[in-house]
Amino acid sequence: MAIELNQVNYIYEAGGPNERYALRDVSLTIGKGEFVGLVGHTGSSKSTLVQHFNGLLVPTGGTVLFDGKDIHAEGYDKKSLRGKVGVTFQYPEYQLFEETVRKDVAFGPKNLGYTEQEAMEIAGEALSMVGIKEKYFEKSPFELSGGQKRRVAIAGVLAMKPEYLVLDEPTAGLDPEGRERILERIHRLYEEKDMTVILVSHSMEDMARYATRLIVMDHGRIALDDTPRAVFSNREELQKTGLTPPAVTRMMEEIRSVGIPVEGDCITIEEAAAEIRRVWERKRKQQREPV
Amino acid sequence: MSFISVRNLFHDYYRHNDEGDVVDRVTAVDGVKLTIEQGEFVAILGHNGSGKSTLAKHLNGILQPTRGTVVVGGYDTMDRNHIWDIRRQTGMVFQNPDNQIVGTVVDEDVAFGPENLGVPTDEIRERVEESLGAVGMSAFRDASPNKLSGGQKQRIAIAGILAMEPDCIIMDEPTAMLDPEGRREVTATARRLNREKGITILLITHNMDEAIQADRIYVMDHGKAVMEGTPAEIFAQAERLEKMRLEIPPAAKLARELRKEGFALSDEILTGKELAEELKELYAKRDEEGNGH
Amino acid sequence: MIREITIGQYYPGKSLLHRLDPRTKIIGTFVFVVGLFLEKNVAILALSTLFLLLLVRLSHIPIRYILRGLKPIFLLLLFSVVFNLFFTPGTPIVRLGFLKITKEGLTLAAFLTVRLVYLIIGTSFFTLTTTPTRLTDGLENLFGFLNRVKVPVHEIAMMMSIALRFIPILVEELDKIMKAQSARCADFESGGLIRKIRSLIPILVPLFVSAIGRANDLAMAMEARCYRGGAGRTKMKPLQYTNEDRYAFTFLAIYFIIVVCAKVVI
Repeated sequence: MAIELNQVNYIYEAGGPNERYALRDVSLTIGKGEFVGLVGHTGSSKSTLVQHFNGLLVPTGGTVLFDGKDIHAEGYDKKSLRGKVGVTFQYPEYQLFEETVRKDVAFGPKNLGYTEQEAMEIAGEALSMVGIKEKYFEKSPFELSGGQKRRVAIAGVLAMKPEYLVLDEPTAGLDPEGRERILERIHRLYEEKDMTVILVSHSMEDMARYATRLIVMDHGRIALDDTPRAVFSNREELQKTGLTPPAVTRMMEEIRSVGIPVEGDCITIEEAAAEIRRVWERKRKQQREPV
Repeated sequence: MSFISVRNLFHDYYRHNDEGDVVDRVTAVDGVKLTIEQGEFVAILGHNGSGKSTLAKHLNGILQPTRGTVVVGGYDTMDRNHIWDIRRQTGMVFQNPDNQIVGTVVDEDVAFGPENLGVPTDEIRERVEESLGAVGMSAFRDASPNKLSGGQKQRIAIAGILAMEPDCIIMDEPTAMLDPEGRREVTATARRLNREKGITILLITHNMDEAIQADRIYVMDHGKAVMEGTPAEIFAQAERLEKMRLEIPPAAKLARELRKEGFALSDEILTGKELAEELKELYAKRDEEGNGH
Repeated sequence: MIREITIGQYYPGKSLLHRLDPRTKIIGTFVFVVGLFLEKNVAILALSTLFLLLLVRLSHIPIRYILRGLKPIFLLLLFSVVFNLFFTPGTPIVRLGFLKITKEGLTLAAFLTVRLVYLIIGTSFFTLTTTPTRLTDGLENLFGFLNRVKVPVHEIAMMMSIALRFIPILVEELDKIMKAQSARCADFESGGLIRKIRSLIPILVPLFVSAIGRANDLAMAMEARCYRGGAGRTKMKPLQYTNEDRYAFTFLAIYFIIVVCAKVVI
């Protein structure tokens, strides 16, 4: 049970004057139960990669397998694939079009063959998963706030009951509160609904908090693929890709540079506080012991 | 007299039903008082829906007060005779980089403002050159805006405003749609224009790491300006900010965690460097105590 | 596919064609088109071909890029060729069951194809080498006399230029919306005509919503930059004929005379 990419290459405008390699020899397996973070500066082809997961883009070379089957093979059921690998794009609120919030969310399940009534029911469930209250169900999606629209759009993909949820920068442009809400909901889906999550983001802080695995893209290649902690402590390689570790990690380096012997691999505020406490504690003990 | 002075400003939005009757009234700006001096760099911090963007649109007369007064550069925004003077003096950069670029070539877009003002041809050319230089985009003079990154587009938008030779630039969430690199480009440009050209900058944002760079911050919540002060003063009140669902800088957050544990750290720490310095002192003190025993 | 539309797009450059005054190019395009449709005449087609080859050389635009602009009209072209080929009465050459290809049909189809292709290429040179701002400046200036009969020439020109600026943005957006709806298993291919049209709703509604939002933003941004119509505006790049334009006009005049001679003589 996995999404598997073997030696995938993707070229934009192949053969044209503006031919451009977007993916180079990308091999990657994403298994069930992972929370994968995907980072890389703009133009590192994160979005291009994501569109290979549900077959929206066809690789110029290489294969994409889902549960062991080539998704671009003759006769492969792409519709059911797109139901299993749900993808939301950047600023997904642009996909809203129906008269009511619930109808819009029901669009996916209806396309998958559920009856009108079933689809509406599933839509309701999906909406509560992202924390949209029932009083909004019959409103026009265009009347909602930015953060709410975003969550409705995500519900539109959740309503297909995907096993894999792929989110391309789901918090872009939102304020801290909107960001927090969406990430908490996504994390809950991962914890409680056993959904595999692939999250594209620019925020290293979010990655440190939620991801179990972090993939760093650089110029269409996978530069690093490890736990967030391991990636962030590999400062040199990370810097080559033009990225910086979370602010806390950098802060701890600063603290070490003034002569306080803290370990440098803290990636959250809580860890950092605990580490500083530990250093203080150790020192107290040393001072008590006679020299 | 302050360059911008907002007194007791109210702004109501009305929602109408199909018959045109008012069904709902939303007070977006609720009695705001605010002053900005020439040459200042002020940030307005608040989450979405706090009224900060509505407030911004009052400062160059795009919106007019429901109640209260807004005076910009000596002109009241209610006085429609001077509306173009106000807009020339206070330019505005918006959130979506694509939706504010009119020209299909970079230099033609930058020229749009001065062309509207009736500036003579030769002078437009000079201004365009100078403005593009000021935002570091001279090399892209003949490029199509569609080929630029988000950060570059915003710098073009800023150049377009600069070419009108304003005293003040209002930036209405200019970084909300940008990646981290674009954000850095835009805030660095804003700071440089403020320092080197003395242009008054008003930066509207929900990002604390941008607000931190200002001389002074106003915090907006529910249409009211609830806090005002230097970044250090504002972020010292972490609990209050968090109650409004705003972020505080990571260094301030860590310092607060440690304070809870009994570390004697000041509440004005904003950066990693400041935190490291204070911790170093505490660490050294422990040494002295130790020697004393 | 939709990303490949080149009609109406500007191709940056500094060639002679790029430098010419837009008015010269408008008049040039007009002369070329009139020449092309003057008469079904091989000599005139040959002259038009020479004219186009000259433009290709002068513009420094890769010919592949120009030809790409033909892709969107390919279907239209095919349709009219087939139509003319099979349905023109005259002397039959080939018979395919109840269909027949006539000599007249063949000539007609050939002329039609060449003319349509030339028309697209010829006119796209104008847009490829002229920035939309210059293009609209040129139109505004040439048709300025219509102002007297209360035609809002400046406003129309501004609208055109904005439309040209936003076409690539909206095309990209359309692509994005289609992908987002495909990810929700939308089906744009199967079903009859009615179903196909219905399946466009999830694409068109978001596109319109976004376009209206953008228009709102842009209007506000333009006002903030002191735009208040055409009155009192100055130009950074005012239109001015140069010696190059004079040469171009001389050339156009000679070309036109030759074309007319070709019509009369042959």
